[in-house]
Amino acid sequence: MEVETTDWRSNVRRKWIRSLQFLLPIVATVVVVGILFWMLGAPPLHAFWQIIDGGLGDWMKIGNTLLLFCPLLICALGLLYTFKAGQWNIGMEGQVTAGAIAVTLVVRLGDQLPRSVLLMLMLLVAMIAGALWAAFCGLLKVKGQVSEIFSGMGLNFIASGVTIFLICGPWRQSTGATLSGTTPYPEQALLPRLSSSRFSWVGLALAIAMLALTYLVLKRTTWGVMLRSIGLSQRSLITKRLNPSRRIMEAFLVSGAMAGTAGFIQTAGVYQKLVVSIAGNIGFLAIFSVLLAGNDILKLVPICLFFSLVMKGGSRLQQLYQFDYSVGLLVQILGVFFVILASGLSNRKGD
Amino acid sequence: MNQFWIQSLRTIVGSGTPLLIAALGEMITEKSGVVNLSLDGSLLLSSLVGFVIASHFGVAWGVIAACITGSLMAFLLAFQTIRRRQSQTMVGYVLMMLGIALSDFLGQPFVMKPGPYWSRTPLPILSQVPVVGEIFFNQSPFVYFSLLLVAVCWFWLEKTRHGLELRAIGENPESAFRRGIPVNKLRFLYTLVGGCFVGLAGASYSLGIRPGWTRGHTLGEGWLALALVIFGGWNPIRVLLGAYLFASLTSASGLVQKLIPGLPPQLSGVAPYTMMIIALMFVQNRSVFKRYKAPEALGRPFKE
Repeated sequence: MEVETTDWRSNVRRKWIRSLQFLLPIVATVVVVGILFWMLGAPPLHAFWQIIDGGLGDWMKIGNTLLLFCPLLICALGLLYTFKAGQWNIGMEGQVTAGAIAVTLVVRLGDQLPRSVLLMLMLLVAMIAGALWAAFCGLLKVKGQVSEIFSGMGLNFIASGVTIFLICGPWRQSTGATLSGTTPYPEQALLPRLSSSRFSWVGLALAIAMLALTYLVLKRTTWGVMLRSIGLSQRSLITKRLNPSRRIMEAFLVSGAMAGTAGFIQTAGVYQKLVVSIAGNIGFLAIFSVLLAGNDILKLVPICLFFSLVMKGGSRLQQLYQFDYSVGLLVQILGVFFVILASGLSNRKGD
Repeated sequence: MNQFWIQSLRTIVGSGTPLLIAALGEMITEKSGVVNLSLDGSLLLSSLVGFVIASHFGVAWGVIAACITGSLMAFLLAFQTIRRRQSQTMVGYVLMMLGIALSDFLGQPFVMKPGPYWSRTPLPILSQVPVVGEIFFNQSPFVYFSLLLVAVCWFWLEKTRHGLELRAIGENPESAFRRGIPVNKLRFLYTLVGGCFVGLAGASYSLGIRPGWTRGHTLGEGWLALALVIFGGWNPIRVLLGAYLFASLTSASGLVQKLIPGLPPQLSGVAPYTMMIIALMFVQNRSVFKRYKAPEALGRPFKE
């Protein structure tokens, strides 16, 4: 049995480590990214300022950053269900794509419908498509014992291939196939926007609704508690009675539906058409967000806001310094990487 | 055996080699109980580093640099998961994305640049052997490395005491520890060795069968290698057979693509992943594959 130490020295050390775990990743990321920028010919301080300015510089930019935030938060929330059930839904990227493809199909077939009906249909179809794509992962896991990591990644690549096929083939633009995407959506298939920004209250409403819903479901319903039990131990006698296979499938379906919703926002809001990388790494960033947030659902909000800021600001750097468009992603991943290194500090032997 | 078949088999052996090397490395790591999910990123980064160094200092140094890069990635994984006991899945995943993003970003100046590579060098006597010689011994040096590594791995695992210890720390680290085997130290070492193999595999892309560098040069191959370890049941010979089987199916799908013009061109790009999923389904569920069990302690940190 462990005896909790009241040794003042180790208490002080623990407090030190906690503050270090917060500060070190920030400093390390800034330093390393600064060096990388400098190596590629961009003055670091100016580049950092450009990221912030690119994301928050004026109301339009703030609106666009917020628009990126919504699908990211929704995906992160969706991941909570599968994580609680002990699964790594790495296939989220593909589920977002599946939702986006389904939305585009509806737009192509139903552009005669009135706007509100069309948008609701698009959302519904996106959720179903995302859920179905996730169901593949779930089935492969539950019936086939195939790790959801492999099926997820495999399905990501397949979804990506299907998208490219559609963009260069049946759904190509009339002026000729181009990798910049399909023909842009007609006005009634777009989310209602504020003036010149692409920000839409629909995206924000969906995000807030899902945040509240997820919080309630995971913390206050029986189903949420069941998921958590299954995540903790799949083999105990108690969890066997909870029908873990069924719960895992349900978690994947919910997760996929939310990914589909994100796909809906990505097509009808952010890009306004189907493009090659329609999921824009949201699936992967959402995983990072959940890893950083730990068990705290509300922490997801500032973390996702930060990620969307860097995404939006990073695209500015791409224009200014001809950086590769992976620069935003790199900054984010380095941040996550250093956080992980720092969080390991509290696991040192002897502590 | 007519020339067409011999040439096809030779191409298959050549194109299956990088996957083989990467899968062997991962097999060693997993035998010791550690999963290295960072393969995709590791392969990309080491293949970039290998290419860059080779462009300035020659292929040999490029290969060494690639191996070091692979080991470095593995070191980060090993340190965080063994010394700091963090989740192998989480650390591996983050390292994978880091490798991908770094290689995309740092590789920009080198896209589509011509560079050196190891071309085919027939071995003096062996390549004269009627059929086998042409297929296996008239290849780039990477192929020879891969065959050597298969032999070394098999011998190490089956015939040496060290190999027994390796298997022990992956199957039952508690008992191994009680017998005096330094479980975590050995896990660390074998993870590094596996990473070195992965680095070599990366080099065998950019300095071998896929010379040069492009964005996402080896994207997705790491996952195929990971699946190959499972499909090969953590056994070097079966991994070799699996790698060549996989390479032949991939070539076949490319051939089908050419022969049937109506098919979407993305099909052959997507085929490997479909095959991967099917292969995994197959192996996990047929009882004839009972001997393909994973090392018992795979993925579980060991507290000494």
